[in-house]
Amino acid sequence: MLVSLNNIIADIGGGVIFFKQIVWQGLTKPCRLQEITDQTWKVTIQSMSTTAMAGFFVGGISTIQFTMQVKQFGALGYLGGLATSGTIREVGPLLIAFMLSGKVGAYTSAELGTMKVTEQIDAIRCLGANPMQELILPRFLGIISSSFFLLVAGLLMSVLGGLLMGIFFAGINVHEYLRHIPTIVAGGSVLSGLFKCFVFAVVLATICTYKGYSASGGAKGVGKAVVNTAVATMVGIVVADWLTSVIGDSVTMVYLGM
Amino acid sequence: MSQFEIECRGVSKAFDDVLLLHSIQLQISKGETFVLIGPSGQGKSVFLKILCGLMPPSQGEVLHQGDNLYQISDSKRNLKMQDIGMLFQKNALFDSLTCAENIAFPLREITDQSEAEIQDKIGHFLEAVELPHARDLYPHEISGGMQKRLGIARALALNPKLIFYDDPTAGLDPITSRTIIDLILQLREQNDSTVIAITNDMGRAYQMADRIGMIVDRELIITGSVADTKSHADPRVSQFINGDLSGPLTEAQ
Repeated sequence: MLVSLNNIIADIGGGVIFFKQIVWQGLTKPCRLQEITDQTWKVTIQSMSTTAMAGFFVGGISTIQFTMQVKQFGALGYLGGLATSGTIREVGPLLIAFMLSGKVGAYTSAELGTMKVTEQIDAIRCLGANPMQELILPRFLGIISSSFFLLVAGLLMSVLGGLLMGIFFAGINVHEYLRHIPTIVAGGSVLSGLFKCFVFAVVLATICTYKGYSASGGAKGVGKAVVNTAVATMVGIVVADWLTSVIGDSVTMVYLGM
Repeated sequence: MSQFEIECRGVSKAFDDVLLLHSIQLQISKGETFVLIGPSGQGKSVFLKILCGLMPPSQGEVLHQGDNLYQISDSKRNLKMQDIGMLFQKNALFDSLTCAENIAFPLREITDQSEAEIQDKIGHFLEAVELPHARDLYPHEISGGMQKRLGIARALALNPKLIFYDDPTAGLDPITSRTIIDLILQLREQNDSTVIAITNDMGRAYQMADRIGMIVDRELIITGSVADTKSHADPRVSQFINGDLSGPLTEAQ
């Protein structure tokens, strides 16, 4: 028990130090823009179809759930606004982060881990290049920037999914569904969604690059790194979600003078 | 400026309290070829990694041209690393890049050469290691011997002054092994470089060594020239080079 607690604390500490190194690398000797755009393109293309599909169904699901609630109050007119607001503020960013963690997180960690155990990372250092600059930073920034594109695609699909469910399940028309979206989905909701998405992407990108980069011990070590990445990103994202919600609420309270 | 290309002062290395290397002293002069031999699992590869700047020692100093490799700034060490070529035991080729791109990697990342110059160099190095036909193949599509040669070409792409070979003939047939050592010697002549190599093939060790050292029982026994090594008084050395089944090395186990 004590040993595993010690390992968890050491792991969190290692991850934070690694994050600091990435930021320092980005500030002092950044990588080429081309490498970031390549990674962004790769990650976006890899995950676009699954994110869009998941977004579509999540939009549909939240509409169905909200329908049951608002029907009791005879407020079906607010269905579109409420379902969309919920998706943009919370479900969308969380969904994108989970999608990315399953696909890109595992892929990145396995790729870096394999490079580590086959000494390719040592080879980069031996050629006088810096693996943080050549490998880690482009992947880190690529994951963060692609998460925004995926968020937009996922959210648009979720609105579409919600709209279709609104029409077929709740029996309201397009105009009615869309009418309250602009009034309920305020700028704050969009900002909150974007902020959460950014935080989740940073957590995910740090964990998967750290786990891959610190892998050791052959194929078994890479397997362990990938499993640890999956577990740590899921937990990390949920904790970050809770933290951002608490901070977001406090900021809103202060802003509104409550 | 130190008179030695590489100098080791009391280098020790321990993993989880298990001492692998203890207080090793070594000086290597410019242009010398130093060959490390020794039974498996005694720390030859670890020692090579300590020497080339990839793994800090637990104690002691490693000096390259008088500068302590593990105490200089990162940027200075990166500059020094550009003068180092390393062939890894398992080649460590970039498996997502073609043979040509593997050689181009250090040229693109480190130098400011134009694409035409880089293409010229790729052609030159592929010719030198007799792999021009493998230009667009990936490392997994070529044989083990070809991968070794490609590893050598990549290690030499920046014309390093200091080259480390970790078992360059492991798993290769005798003829390919001889060809690879000939290639290493030929490239050493061309570049006037210092070479440190690990091998357990005594024939190849004799073929290339100016001096030989054996790592055994956590220490480095510098056995001297090929002739000195063959007539070395230490029974562990004679048992190892003759491949005897009985002797201090096997008794200790």
